[in-house]
Amino acid sequence: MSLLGYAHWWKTRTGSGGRRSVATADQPGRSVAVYHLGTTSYGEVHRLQQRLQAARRAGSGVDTLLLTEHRPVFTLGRSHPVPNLRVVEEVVRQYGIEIVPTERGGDITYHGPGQLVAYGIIALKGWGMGVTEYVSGLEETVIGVLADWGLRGERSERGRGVWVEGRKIASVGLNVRGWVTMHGIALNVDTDLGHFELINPCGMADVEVTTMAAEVGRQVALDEVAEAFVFHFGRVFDCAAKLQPIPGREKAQRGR
Amino acid sequence: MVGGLVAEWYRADGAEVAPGEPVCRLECDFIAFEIEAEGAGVLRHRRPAGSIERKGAILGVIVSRGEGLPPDEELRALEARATAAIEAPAAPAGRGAAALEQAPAVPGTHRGAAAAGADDLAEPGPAAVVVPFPARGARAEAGADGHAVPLAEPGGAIPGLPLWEEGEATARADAEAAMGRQDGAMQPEPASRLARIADEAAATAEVLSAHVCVSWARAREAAAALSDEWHPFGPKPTVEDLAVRAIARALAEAGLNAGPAGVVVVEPDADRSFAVENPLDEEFRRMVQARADGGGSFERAEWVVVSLMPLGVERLEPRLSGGRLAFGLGAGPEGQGTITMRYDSMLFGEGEAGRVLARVRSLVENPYRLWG
Repeated sequence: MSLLGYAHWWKTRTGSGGRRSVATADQPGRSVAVYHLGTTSYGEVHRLQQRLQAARRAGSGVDTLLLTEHRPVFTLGRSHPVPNLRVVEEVVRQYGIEIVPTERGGDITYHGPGQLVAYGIIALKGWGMGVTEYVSGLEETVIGVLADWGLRGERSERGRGVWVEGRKIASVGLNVRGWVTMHGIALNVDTDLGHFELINPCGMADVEVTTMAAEVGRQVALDEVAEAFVFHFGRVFDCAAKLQPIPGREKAQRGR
Repeated sequence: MVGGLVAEWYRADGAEVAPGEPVCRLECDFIAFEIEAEGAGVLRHRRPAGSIERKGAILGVIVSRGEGLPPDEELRALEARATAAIEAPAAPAGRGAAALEQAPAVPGTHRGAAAAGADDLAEPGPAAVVVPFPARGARAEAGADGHAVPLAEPGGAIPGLPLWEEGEATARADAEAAMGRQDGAMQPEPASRLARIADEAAATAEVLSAHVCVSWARAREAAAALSDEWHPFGPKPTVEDLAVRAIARALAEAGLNAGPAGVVVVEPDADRSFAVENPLDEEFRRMVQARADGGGSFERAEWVVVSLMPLGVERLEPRLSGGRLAFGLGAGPEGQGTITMRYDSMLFGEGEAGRVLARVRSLVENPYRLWG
């Protein structure tokens, strides 16, 4: 077999996720449907989350984990309606980046290509879990993902999120209503950090943002990170995380 | 942290609320927690918006119509019970709920506390646990010695230099124009109008210049790290190679179909002022051609990258070539430098030029993205 053929077989072999699956027989109650949405614009996923949260609060629907990668956008937390920018708003508009107000906590942040965004719509009551516990779980999921790439992620006194050697690599933002969560965590895999320079991320002027690619020193595939995220999410929360196919929507390619 | 902020009361003091209606938002560390009314009634605020409350505090109460807040001692007793319930180890599930559930036990009229505060937001997270995944760990080890995991093939070569003879192209254009004049006698007007528009545009066109600061030190590091993936058996890439490729990519992303590029690296033994002032005159061209040693003719380049980095010139404004685009690479002290772009205003506006340059900077400093 040629090397290329071998590589293809290795990637597509049955049970390629086999070592990543976790036994969750002891927790039949916890399961989460995972959707990998590919590249999306912020607005559509935001609406989808609102619908899912409303359904979950009404008692229907299932716990859902949405994984996606947004087109460039700045989002504002509910309590900080004025964008905390380092440049005038004109410049942001010149870059063609929208500023979207949301209902989550926290201050301004950036989403863009190369950033894995995970939104959990989870009924915490059903999981017997508090909000802090859930956020810590999200952070631990990311710490596990980073460990897969040989990075040591840690929590910091400076705020929620995951940090690598004092640089912020993942940010948390959450909205909980009726004990159903919405929004989640954003992990910089190979994000264009230039866009972060336009804002004071999370309202902190001196925070340095980094990406997995920059820390590892080579390119990191977002799909692999997403796969690892699903695995670690299942491990940390001890739930069956099952990737669902999305009918009528093939996964979007990274637009380069 | 020991508490949370009462960020906003959605419903005013004394407003009628229905069960399930959001009445209040707590915030703490990027978490917005919306509290919903547990029963119908009249909302009475106990704590104002903007106050920071500790874990287990009662923020407000839902009472029946015509009633005020219950006496403060009663609520304080409730708070104490709620806090005790939170701290009790027997409540691992729904810790936040614990405080809420105490409220309906209030005797008499109030049907339930609206909010029991900054309850479980206040818990410190468990210590960080790093569990390395075996398969990844093995792979990282394999990659540690050299670059055992090869990157994908670098996408496409830098557009090659030879494209067409300028003389031929102009002759062909002339011939086409003549043909058009012959058989297009019926509609000479649109052609002349287009020509007029083009003339006007050309008359108002100006040469603009923009520059961006880059860290060549970072670029050099990255180029060294990438050299194996770039040309496994070939020459090591220099930062100039990197810059040309980054510029080509940024131009392509900006929708500009950039043709062949010319690269001029001026070495210390060359005449510096000569290179800056007359980059495209005959003699210089011959010199560059000699340097390129038959690798393609410099005059066919549509855009030019001139590097004066070996000379230590910090900022260089190259002359525009015939191709309406020229880039200058300059290096200053401590690995810092600039990339300057001289462009024709007919190519793009200043905002777009800034965007292109920002992208070039980002690609030069993080060349992994070139293969992303």
